[in-house]
Amino acid sequence: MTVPEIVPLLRAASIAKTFGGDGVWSRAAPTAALRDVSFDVARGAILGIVGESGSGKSTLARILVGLTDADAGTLELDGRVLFGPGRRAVPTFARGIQMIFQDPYSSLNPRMTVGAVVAEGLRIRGGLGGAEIAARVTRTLELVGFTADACRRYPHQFSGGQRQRISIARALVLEPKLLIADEAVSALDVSVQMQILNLLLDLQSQLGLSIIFITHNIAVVDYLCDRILVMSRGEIVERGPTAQVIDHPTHSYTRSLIAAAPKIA
Amino acid sequence: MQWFDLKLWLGALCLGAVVFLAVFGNLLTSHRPDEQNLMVSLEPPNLLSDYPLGTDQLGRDILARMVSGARVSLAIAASVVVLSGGFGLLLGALSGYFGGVRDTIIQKVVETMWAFPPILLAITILAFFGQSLGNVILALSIQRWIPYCRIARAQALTLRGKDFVSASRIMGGRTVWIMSHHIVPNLIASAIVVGTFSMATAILAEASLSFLGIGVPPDIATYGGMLADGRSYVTEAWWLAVIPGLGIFFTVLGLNLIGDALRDQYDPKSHLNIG
Amino acid sequence: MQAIDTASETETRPVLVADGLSLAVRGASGLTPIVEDISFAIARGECFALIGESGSGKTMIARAIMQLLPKSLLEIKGRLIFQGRDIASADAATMRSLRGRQIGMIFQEPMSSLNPLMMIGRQIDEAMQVHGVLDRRQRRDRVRQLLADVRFDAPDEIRQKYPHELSGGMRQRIMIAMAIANEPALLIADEPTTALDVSIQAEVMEILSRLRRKYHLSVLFISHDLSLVYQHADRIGVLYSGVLMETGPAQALIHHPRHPYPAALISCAPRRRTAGQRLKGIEGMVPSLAAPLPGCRFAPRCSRASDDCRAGRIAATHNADGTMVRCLHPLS
Repeated sequence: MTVPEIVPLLRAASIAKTFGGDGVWSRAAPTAALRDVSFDVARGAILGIVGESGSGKSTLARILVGLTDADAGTLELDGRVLFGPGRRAVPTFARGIQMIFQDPYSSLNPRMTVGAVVAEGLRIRGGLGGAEIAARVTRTLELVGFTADACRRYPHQFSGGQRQRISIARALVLEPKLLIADEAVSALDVSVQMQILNLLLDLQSQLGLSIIFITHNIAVVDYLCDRILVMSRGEIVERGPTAQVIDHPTHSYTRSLIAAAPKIA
Repeated sequence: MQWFDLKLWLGALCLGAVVFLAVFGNLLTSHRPDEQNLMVSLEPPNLLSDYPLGTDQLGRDILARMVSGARVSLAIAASVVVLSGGFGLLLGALSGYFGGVRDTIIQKVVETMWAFPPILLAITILAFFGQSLGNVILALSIQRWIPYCRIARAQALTLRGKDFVSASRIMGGRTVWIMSHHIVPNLIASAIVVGTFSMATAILAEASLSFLGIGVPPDIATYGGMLADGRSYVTEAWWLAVIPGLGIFFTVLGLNLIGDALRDQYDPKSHLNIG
Repeated sequence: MQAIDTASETETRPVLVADGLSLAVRGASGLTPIVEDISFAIARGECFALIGESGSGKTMIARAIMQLLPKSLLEIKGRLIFQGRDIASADAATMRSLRGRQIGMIFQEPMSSLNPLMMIGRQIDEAMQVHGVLDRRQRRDRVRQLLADVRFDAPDEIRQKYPHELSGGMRQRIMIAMAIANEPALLIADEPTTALDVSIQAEVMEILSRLRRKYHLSVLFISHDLSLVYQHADRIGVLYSGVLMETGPAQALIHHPRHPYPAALISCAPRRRTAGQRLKGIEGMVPSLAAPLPGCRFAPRCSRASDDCRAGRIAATHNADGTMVRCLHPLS
């Protein structure tokens, strides 16, 4: 009798991406942004991806969500192939993956009300009446800690931390299975970061949401994530449960990264 | 913001006077602009008389002709701005948003068109297709869309990199949706600023064309045409040239002041970011 | 006007003293305060860090101190004493002679201080040429020395490069070289490592520490990063909404903060959770610098606030050990 395998929510295999060097117009030499990246994300888990600039972590995020196409590799979500050799990639909105970004000031359209911002995904998808859309928007805003009257206000009336929560609401209204947070708290003050991190923990426990959290901040990863991947120059150099990787790093890059991070002893 | 108020109000006053003239002109005079009466030719301005602004060499009421001129100038300028603005904005936004080969091609077209001297182009069109109100609008619009295109493209290039555009794409937003919900609404502010200045230059351009005699058909009174007529009478009847000149002056001044005030408001150079 | 000190006086006298310094900016809507009534002192060779979050006023303070804003826009009250001279009301000529010579500055974004069209070597040379202390040959040697100081192994190679050919960390090191070229007594560092990767940040901070020791350089370090400042600063001043809430030795202040604000800040720094327990942020929002608030500006968010805290301005308590707290209910 075989032990039933727990299928991970997300399975990425051999993802590769090269930039530049294509076409007659390009003078840049081809650079490999990602090389043979493979990893899994368990259901309801928070995976941290740690790396510095040039590690390829942002490129990976864009490939997962569908903003960029990978040159090679396979991606499966919940057993469904999102892209792979010889098949057309599933478009972004049909993947069940959503994303929140680093800069709270450029992630919301200044000319749209908060209600319109959060409703946008539902309106694009279509098939729902105005009342139903409004109800879902209100529910989602409440989930991230706002009351319904926020709908009529504009982004500039909110602080950085509040804007990130609005971005989270926008992502959640489409009920994704996986949320990718690309440096989502890096531009926030320390006192506000904790609110967002705790919100993500709440969403994990209340909705069973799986999260990939991309950052360069070891302390944040230590607080939030169950497992981490350490990336350098397009490759995963180390992976494992957060505490283990941070306390007992095996790869030299991981060691130097942890050593360089300032800490309060 | 004191400056804003002063410029805006002054501009509104100047432009408002001209608009008032255009809209309510009929109440100010009972004469028609083409009504000739050689008995009262070359009457100097006299606010109390039947011809408050005097008459020209054919005895036509200057005030009535100013009203007509105001209407024509404003109508032409507004049409030109809407036509060229709409076209230029859309083309520029698409060009900037798409980037790549499409952008390059469109920009090459822009640069080619930009190389033509505008007045020459306008003259050519009018000579070819004849003088009419519609053709004048076309001739003036033919190049005027380019500044809008440039500004829209520059902004679209910045906007397409913004996270809220990426977010929209992730949610399934296609080009039409992103253009209409994200790109264009953020372009409107600068478009309005360009529009006010563009309207001012359109009025000047139209006046130049009429002055040269190739603007709207001569039977319609325009400021430029009146200026041309008044040229020969400058020494004996100064009001024939000065009054339409003032008309152009106030219209253009008003538009420039308003445009300036709007630009101050939408594009503040605040190097003082507190906190 | 110039205070001429004996050698021993130079050693013991603080390099920079702010005494009741208040800075405000004149804008379209009137006067916006940046900081109010701040007092601190930086000794020779000491690194003093001003810590603050957004809305604390830290963004403008360096520029205001250096009068990098036009005089018509800046209002300075109180005293700012540099090497015995009050420069708060100094005229433009005096400030120009101080900047780059006695006081060096480095900013967050090095690209904005480097001329993209000039070779690195020439730019560093220019920083010295402007103050006319050394001749051409001496300057050349000095450039080489400076580049070695900031850890460039091949200084002759680097001097021929242009800014865009260098990475962010390298540019920041060039900035440091330019800032210390004329052996200033004080270096003002305005968030110098915020835009850098963690490993580059560590390198740059190490360079700064070494230069401090070598040149007896005093540093005014402005930052938002508590852990960075814990590791590298001698003393810290905590800024909140334009008011200096607490000052003291870096490690002591962070381990035992007396003011509720730094205490809350330290407690919400992310670190590993024990047994699934959560940390808390600080409720509420920073009041806008322009918003008038009677009493303590942190009171609306403080768990220890009482009615007296909201009544009137809180005076600073100066302790015997040189620390300062501005609080009616400090933690012990």
